[in-house]
Amino acid sequence: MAYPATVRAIEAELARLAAVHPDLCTRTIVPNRSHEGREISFLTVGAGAAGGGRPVLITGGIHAREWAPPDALLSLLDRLLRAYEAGTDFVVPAFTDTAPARDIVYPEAAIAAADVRRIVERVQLNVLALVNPDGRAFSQSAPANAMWRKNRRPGRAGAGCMGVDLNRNFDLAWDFERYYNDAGEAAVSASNDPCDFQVYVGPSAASEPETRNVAGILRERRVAFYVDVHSFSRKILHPWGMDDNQTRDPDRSFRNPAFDDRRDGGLGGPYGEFIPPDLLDEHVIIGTAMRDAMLGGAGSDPRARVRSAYDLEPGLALYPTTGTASDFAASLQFVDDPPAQRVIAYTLECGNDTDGEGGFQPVPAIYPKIEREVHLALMAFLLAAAA
Amino acid sequence: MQLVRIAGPTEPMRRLGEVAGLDFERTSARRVGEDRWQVSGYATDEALATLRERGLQIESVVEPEDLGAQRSLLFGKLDDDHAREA
Repeated sequence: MAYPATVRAIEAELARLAAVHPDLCTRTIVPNRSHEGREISFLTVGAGAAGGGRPVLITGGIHAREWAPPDALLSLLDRLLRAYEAGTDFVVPAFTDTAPARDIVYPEAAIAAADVRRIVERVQLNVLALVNPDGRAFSQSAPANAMWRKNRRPGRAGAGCMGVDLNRNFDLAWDFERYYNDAGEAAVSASNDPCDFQVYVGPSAASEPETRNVAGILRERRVAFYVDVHSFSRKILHPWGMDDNQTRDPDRSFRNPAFDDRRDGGLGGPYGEFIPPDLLDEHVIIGTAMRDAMLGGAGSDPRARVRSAYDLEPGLALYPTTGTASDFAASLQFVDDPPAQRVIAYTLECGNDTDGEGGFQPVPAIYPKIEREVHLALMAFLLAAAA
Repeated sequence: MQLVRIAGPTEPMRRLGEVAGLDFERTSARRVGEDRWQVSGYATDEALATLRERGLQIESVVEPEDLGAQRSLLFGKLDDDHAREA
């Protein structure tokens, strides 16, 4: 399957993987078709007893225009399954970037066969590689549509503006006008305008079938480790994105309506969102392992290393975000009944605007560099989940 | 359209969502100084004019002709794939 894959090629590859590795993986059709009627499926990989193992979910393609993540997730599955069946290392091939004046070589990297075995036998790995097939199909239909981000929810009476930003549609701080004060509302990366090209939150929380598919897997499988893969900015983001983190006051929480219309959504502002200190520490430890895996995979050439340096930081920077998949996943450990187990959740923003990496749509010549970073980061993440 | 980096003080940078013709990646926001941020995005000529009117600094990362060439390459491959799938 050559990058960039079409929507049909992605579904075909999922079916092929399930057919070639029937003892190791299962393909499941999710309950909700897309607005345009597309069937969506995910693979579950695991050799643990009766499909047991710690439940992990990795998603990609929530944003239509981010073309690299779904492809990288499918090749991750292919390499993982082949390595496990052969009893070999998971090998990330060497890559040479020939675009700079002097070639940059990224050496071969390997994850030991014993670690591959540990992952496949201790983790129930669920991969929904393409959450938003309608959006991707539209984004890939013509250059003028390449920047499409949302799904393809029809406009009102078939005439209004189309699409919802699925990564603002999850049921966490979705009603941002109620959630924030005026300053937070002005800064938040969210909109109630269906014609907003980027961040329309939808008519209600979890209104979109694609959102409900992800939320359903998170809840039904009681997912404990989650990564949502996006592009671009070479970052690993951990909770929270709605507001600045604080570890002292559990009452300052998204669950507490006493702070509605009072949250500021800013760095260093008067309101901070509570995250238990040990949960924050665990996110930093695992996120650091992901970051170090990508950096280590770059070898010794300083040019390769600087191009493989990802930042690990909380989701909030300049713009607070509401209704995102990864924050929603993390929120479940505080709100579900019965209480969910501990949830570790990240957004991985792969690739970059510079160094010829192409932003949302890298060209095929540089794609292997981005793919290898995704694989190295996610294998480190999976090893943490298998521990 | 071109891929650019936009830099400026916090308040105008927080209002980039209002700029028509600008598709920026919010997670690319980096603090580059006291009360100063940088964000990457794709901007039309109209959007660039608006950003300049607001006093924001623009750095071109991928020029329009290079972005066009990249898109031609990608859509050439996709067109072939779509034709095979039809």
